[in-house]
Formats: sequence, C-alpha cells, structure tokens
Amino acid sequence: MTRTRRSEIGELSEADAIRLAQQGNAEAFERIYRLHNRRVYALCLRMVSNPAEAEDLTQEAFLQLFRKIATFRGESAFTTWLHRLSVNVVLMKLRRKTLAETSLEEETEPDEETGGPRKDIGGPDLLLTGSVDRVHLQRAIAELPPGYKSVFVLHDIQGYEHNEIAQIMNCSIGNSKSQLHKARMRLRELLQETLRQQAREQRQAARGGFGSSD
Amino acid sequence: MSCHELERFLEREPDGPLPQALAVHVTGCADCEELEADFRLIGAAALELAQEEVAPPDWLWTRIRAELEAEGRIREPEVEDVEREPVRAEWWTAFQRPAFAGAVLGVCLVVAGLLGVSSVTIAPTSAVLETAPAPEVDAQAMESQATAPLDASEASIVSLPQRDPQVAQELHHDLGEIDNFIAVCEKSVREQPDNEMAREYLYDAYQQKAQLLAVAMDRSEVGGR
Repeated sequence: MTRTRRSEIGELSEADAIRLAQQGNAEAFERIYRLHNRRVYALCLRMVSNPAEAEDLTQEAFLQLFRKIATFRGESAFTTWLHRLSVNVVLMKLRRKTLAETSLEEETEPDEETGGPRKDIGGPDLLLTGSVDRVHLQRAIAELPPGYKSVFVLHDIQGYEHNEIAQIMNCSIGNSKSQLHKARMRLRELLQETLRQQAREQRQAARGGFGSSD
Repeated sequence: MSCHELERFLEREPDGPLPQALAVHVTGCADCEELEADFRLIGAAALELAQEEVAPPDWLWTRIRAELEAEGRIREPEVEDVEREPVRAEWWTAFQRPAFAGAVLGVCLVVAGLLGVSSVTIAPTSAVLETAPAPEVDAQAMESQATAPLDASEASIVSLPQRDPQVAQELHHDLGEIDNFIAVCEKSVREQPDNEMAREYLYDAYQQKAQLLAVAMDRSEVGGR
C-alpha cells in the first residue's frame, strides 16, 4: 500500500475506497463516509426525529460499517449493505426505547360495520386537506411503530423501491408493501388526531376568550 | 367492489394504479375518495421532507475517526519511495537506507574531488556543539570527512532562491531539521564516545545532509541551465 494523496482520495471511486479501507487506509474511510454520510444521517434523523440521537446513530452505523468492511466481498451493493446496517442500528435503538410500548406488527383494523378504513365517530371534519405539511408529518412519523417507520422512511422519503427495502429489512417485497400501506393508514390517523387536538384547543381558547370577556 | 376490497388492494399494491372496478368505486364513495386524497397529501409532505437538505455536523467525522484510531482500525500507510516530493520525505526515506545514503555521499566526494575542493572548514551546526566540551572523539573528523564537499554544494545553491523560491524554502527548512538532528547526534557521541550506534547515527546524519545538498545542487544546476 502506498501513501495516497488527499486530492486523489477525493477522486477515488467507491470500489477503490472500499479496497483501501479494507487495508486500514484512513483517507479511504473518510471518502466512504463523505460519500454516504448525508443519506445515512437523513435516514437516522427521519427515524428518530432528534438531531443528537441521529448523530450518535450515524456514528454507530459508520463504526459498524468500518468494523465489518474487511468482510465485504461485493455480493450485494455496498449502499444496500450500508443502509441495511444503518436501519438495523436505528431499529435496535428504537426497539430498546419502545420495547413493550408498541407491537411491530400493529394492525390497522378495518371498520367492523362497513369493512372500510376505520374512522373515529363523532370527530370533527377529518379531511386532511391543507393541514399536512412536513412538520406535521415529521411529528407523526415519530409516533409510528419502528417497523412501519422504517418502511415509510425508506420508501416515501428516501425513495427506495420495495425490492431494495426487502433486502435492507430482510423481508419479502409483499411484506414491505403491506407495511407501507399500514404505515400510511397509521399516519393518517395520527394526523387526524392532531387535527382533532388542534380543534379542541381552538374551542377551549374560544371558550376562554368568552369567559374572560364576562 | 367495496371499501374493504380497496384496502386489501392497497396492501398488495400501495402505489399501483387502481383496477377499473376499484377506480369506479372510489369516485362514488366519499370515504374512499377522502382516503385517496389524504394519501396524496401525505405523499406530498413526504416529498417535502425528502427534499429538505440535512447533513451531519462536520465534527462527526472527527469523532468517528478518533474511535477508529482508538480501536486500531486505521493503519499508517507505507511511504512511497519513488517520487521526490516533498524533498524532506525523500531524504528521510533515504535516511532509513544507509547504503543508499553512503553511495550518495561517495558520489559527492568524487564530485568534490573533481571540482578541486581540498579542504573546508565547517562551522558548528548547533549551539550544543558550541557549548559542549570537545571530547576526544573523532566527531569533528567525521564531520569534516562527511561534509567536506557540502560547503561546495551549499555555495552552488546560493542562487537557488532567485530561481526557485519554493524549493529554496523547503531546502532551508530541511537543512534546519537535519542540522538539528546532527546536533543531537553529536551530543550523543560526546556523551557516549564508545557507543557504536550513536556514532553510526551521527555518520548517517552527515550522509543525509550530503544527500540533501546533492539533490539541491542537482536542482540548482538544472535550474541554472
């Protein structure tokens, strides 16, 4: 192995960087980190909704990657491998946090009477139109069970296809699709709940306003 | 077709186009139409999130690297021995190969002989040499022998700064370092005159200086043409 200049490192292909990193080259490690850090960090941030935790998880994901990089033989795409590892790191963290709080296989039960999507009776208008933005959505994602969250973040935010998610999550393509649908259903419920909460607060504020005018 | 059938279809194909029969059902069912509209909104908000630029802080790599170093996963690269830049790396590499350095010194001696350089007085290379008592060892003789042609070389590179200031600056820096090293070696020889290794190091240090100056002289001559 020879000394590799910094300017050359910036031009290294991913394959060359992996090969050098397998030999313990610090600059190759950095090249790999620079190539993937944004995507891994974004994944972690969307999953945990907390920058400090996302930083820790990103660090852990890359450390695990570099600890195992000597075993990488190229059978699968490096990016898929890295993201599987990152998702596992995040899921481990989430599972430790939410153990016994929520089931990963949470079902969205259909309405018993109509057989259609379950809806709360007697709530305000539940149409989400105009009330969903990225802030609301991020908050709702934070409430999702880990399994739903992973699939939703990977598919709807990170842009992965179901076959890729199946590899990353080590599940079937059908399972990935089913989880995505359930995640969306759950998000809808969470967003509707947010709307109800806002409506309640507005009503209370209005009552308080009337009360104070007395 | 029913609302339940729509949901079952979406579980199988959450993004697939609806079959004709289901599409007809959705247009006639307020609940399903609402569901479809809400999913579109969620998808649009997800797209907004996806487009949001997020990046980890710059210091995160420093933290990761420190951890890798602590775990011993980063190995120092071997030094390339082909290229000549920077000059310091070259002489330091050569320093680790006394045979090569000795050969260079020999060449310098021959060149000096051809140029008619008979004797040169070398100034002490450091304050250590000036303050330490002169022991009865042949350090000065070694120095004279090893660096006799060096002053000629030094004289020949006087004009280098005008031609190539960057090389001259590097050379000056490298000479300073080797002189410091020579001073340390001289001190060791004075303190332990019988230590063969100390004498060897001193001799090697002189050889390195010879080599460095030879390289500089080469550049000076090449630049002067």
